[in-house]
Amino acid sequence: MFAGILFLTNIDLFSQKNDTLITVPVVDIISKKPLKERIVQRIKIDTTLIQNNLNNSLSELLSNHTTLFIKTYGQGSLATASFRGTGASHTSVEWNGININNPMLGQVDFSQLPIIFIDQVEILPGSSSLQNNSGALGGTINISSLPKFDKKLYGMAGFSYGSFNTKQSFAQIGGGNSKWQNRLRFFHETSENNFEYYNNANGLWNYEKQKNASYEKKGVLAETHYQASNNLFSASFWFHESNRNLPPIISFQGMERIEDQKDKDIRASLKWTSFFKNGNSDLNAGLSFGNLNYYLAHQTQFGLYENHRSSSESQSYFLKYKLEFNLRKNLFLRWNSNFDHAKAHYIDHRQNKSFSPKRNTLGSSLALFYTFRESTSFYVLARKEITDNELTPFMPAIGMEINNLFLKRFSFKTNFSSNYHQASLNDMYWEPGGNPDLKPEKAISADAELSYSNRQNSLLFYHISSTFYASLVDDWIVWQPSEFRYWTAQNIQEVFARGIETKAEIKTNFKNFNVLFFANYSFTKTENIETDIQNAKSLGNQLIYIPQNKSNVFVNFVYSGYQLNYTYNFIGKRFTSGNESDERHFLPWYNLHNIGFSKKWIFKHWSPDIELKINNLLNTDYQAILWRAMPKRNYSLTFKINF
Amino acid sequence: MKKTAQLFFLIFMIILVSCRKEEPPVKEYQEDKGVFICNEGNFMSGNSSLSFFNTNTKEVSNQVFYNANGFPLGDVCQSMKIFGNYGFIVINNSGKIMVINTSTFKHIASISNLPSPRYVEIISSTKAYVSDYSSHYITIIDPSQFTIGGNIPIGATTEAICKSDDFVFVSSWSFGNKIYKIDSRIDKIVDSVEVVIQPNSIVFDKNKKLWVLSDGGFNGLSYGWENAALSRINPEDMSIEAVFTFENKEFSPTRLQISKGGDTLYYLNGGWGLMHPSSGVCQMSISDNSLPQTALIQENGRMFFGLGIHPSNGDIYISDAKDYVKKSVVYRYTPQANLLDSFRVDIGAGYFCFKE
Repeated sequence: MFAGILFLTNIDLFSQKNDTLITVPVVDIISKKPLKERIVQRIKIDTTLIQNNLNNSLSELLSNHTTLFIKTYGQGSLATASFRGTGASHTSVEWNGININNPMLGQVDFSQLPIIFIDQVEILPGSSSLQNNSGALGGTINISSLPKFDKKLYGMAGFSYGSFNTKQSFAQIGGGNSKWQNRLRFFHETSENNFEYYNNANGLWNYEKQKNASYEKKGVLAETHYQASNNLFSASFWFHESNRNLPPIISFQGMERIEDQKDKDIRASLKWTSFFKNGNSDLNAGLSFGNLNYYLAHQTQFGLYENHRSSSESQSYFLKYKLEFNLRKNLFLRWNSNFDHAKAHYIDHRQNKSFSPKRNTLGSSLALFYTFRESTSFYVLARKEITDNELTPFMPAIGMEINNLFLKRFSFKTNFSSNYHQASLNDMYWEPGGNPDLKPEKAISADAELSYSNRQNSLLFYHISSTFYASLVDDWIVWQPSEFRYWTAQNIQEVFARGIETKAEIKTNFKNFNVLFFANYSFTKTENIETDIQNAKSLGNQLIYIPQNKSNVFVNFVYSGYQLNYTYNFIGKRFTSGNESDERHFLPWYNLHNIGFSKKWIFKHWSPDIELKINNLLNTDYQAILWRAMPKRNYSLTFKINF
Repeated sequence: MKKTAQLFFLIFMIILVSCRKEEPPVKEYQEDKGVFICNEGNFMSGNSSLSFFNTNTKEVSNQVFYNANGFPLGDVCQSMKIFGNYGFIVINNSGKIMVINTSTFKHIASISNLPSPRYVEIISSTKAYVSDYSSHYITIIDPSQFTIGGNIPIGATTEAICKSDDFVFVSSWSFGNKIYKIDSRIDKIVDSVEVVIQPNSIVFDKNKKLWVLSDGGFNGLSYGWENAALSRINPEDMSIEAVFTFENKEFSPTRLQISKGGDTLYYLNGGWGLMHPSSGVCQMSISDNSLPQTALIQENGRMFFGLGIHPSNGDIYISDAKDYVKKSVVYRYTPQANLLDSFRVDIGAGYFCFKE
């Protein structure tokens, strides 16, 4: 094992905006941070990483550059997150202030969130997520657009061609004046995704081409921003559609099978931010509609035999109000209130049955931040919610931060919280097996972070942080076989998750030569607690598909328009069933190496660039999920023009 | 800066080192008698496996297929049939039958390109029938050449399959409520009879009567939900001679088996942990006039999933699948329901295949 070199990007020190040339503003890192930005852990993903992943999805960005573990079935396929040892529904994603988790499944498919539509990614792990909303026992990922009030007209158009006949086209155009800005983005991707892999699962021991894995996804994002006398109005609209074929596992040798999934998502957000003397307020209204169609059929000697055909539609509406107010110079207040309404309709066309669950949630939280001697800050937060006329227990959080420790280079922060996650609509109302009596899942979490930064220096900046966290999640929902011959959702699992996240970033800049180095390492021990007949508790097995060790490194060199970057990813051993002792129920660790090389030319009004990416450089055979094929070395070439 | 460069180089060198996974060692096994246990694994996970219990040495070996061959069985190991030295292992959701040598566990052939196979019945050395969950026909295979020979249209999905002289009887379980009679000399349906919905298992008794166990579906199944029933059919004219209806609609009996002498029926009642005196392994004489009120072996909080009756000594083999995530436990009982021993196998142990 390579030692703990680990990192991330807490502070957006080196502003890179839209191009890859770096300017280095001299910023005082710690003491000037406004009170409301302190204590809470907020991990902002560096803009270089966002630029570098422009034609990827959020799945690759998070997987390659954060401590989050993304469980992925491969390019274009379902990708879900496990954050700090929790489950897929415990990570919530908010887009411009509205939650985009599917209310039926409770989770987000990160493969369907293209980076081209995202300007900023901010991660609030564990207890810190309660600042936003409840339920994110693992954490919240905020993705958002940033208006550019300094531009009259700007745009970008790109085309990418890659292995397995993967084609991407993407474009954006924006502009306006210092009061009113509009922006339109477009994205389209198709892939045959018929990569070659070594099949070690059927006894033939040969190279095969992946079958039935092609996909198409496309989307449009339109936004408008208007600012006038201390008010900012923003409206954004996002349409996304994808059609994907779902490949069978590689031991499959049956007659041809047709399995596909079609998704359509519409999201809209309206936001009015008002700034006043000692604070600001946000009024946010939004909606998120999802439509998912799933189809499975077997080819037979007498034509297709349809096994499954279903559609799920969901509609979520959100209304939020946030007030932030500096009561005194050293006392800050934040009041959040939200009303959410979600409804869904599921139809099983083959069995000709349906169900239509819905849910209302009303929540409110109040947080007070206090600082003294500029170096020590505290907050207390209290949150209360009503879901479908049921009061969720009180959700408190507290935190503390001390800066300028030891030679003013260290800082320490800690957060504690109690948080509740509501069961998904499927968990409660799926037929058969949904359980309307489910209690919310409960988490008690704590974390402590120690970080170290060097003093201001325009040549070299480094920041290292290490966070220890622990969470006890009770009433964790698991689907269990029931006495009625079908599976039912029950609040039966208790999970103890704890671990360490270490991040490091180094940035240097001299004579037009820039180097970025980011690294992350996470150790995640997440085990179910087993209770025996005498009610004695013992720690059970590591939850499946959550590696204990995960690490990644990103290195970026920029010189005179040339850019070279290298991404390294290590995923440790994962258990594939709850039987740790068994030699066959795990997947071994693997390493992935990606490199990218680009050249950018800058002319007066426009700047073209060309980039070559090589993924899985060492041609590694690996499985992210048991008996699911993954591509070996593959390439992509991207042309882009910015103006 | 020089130091920084050196550091980068060092880190690169460390992380560029990657090594290969090793193949598991191949184990050889003796030719003892025993029991194969089909561990279904989890649907769509490809983690099914085969276990072998040596009835002489009482040793249990898990993952015998993988260990002998270095590759997995596939997704959902449904059932297994032995013919001579060959074991035909049906891998339902991989659309194939894996043929092994029952002594060495070595893979001999794969019969692939099946839609969704469930059970195999051997008709002769050149003909076997395969039932199917996702097609409306029986597939004919050659159990010596390991090839597909044709099919018999049924008009419904097929499940349990049982031979009596020249005739083969097939139940239609998924979206089905019939028993079909096939003349194996001409590979054609010659008769059928309607029973309570979802007949999942069938056996012949010593009087050559066909017993059919229907689970009746479940609450919420669009196809229907009826009281489960055990029916006795005269295979000659396909007439229903007797129907024993389960009084509790929640009961979902499965895995009908018969003793060596062909006079005692066994099945699993209750289904998945229902706490009831008749939940568990039920025993019924073919001459009884009613269903047993209490189980011979009570389920008692366990999750009985598979049931097998040893064809020569009548021992009862039951698997407790627990939560289908943990490893299953197999319990062995004497025909008088005295516990002999128990052992751990793999995930979702559902089917016992006795090697004599």
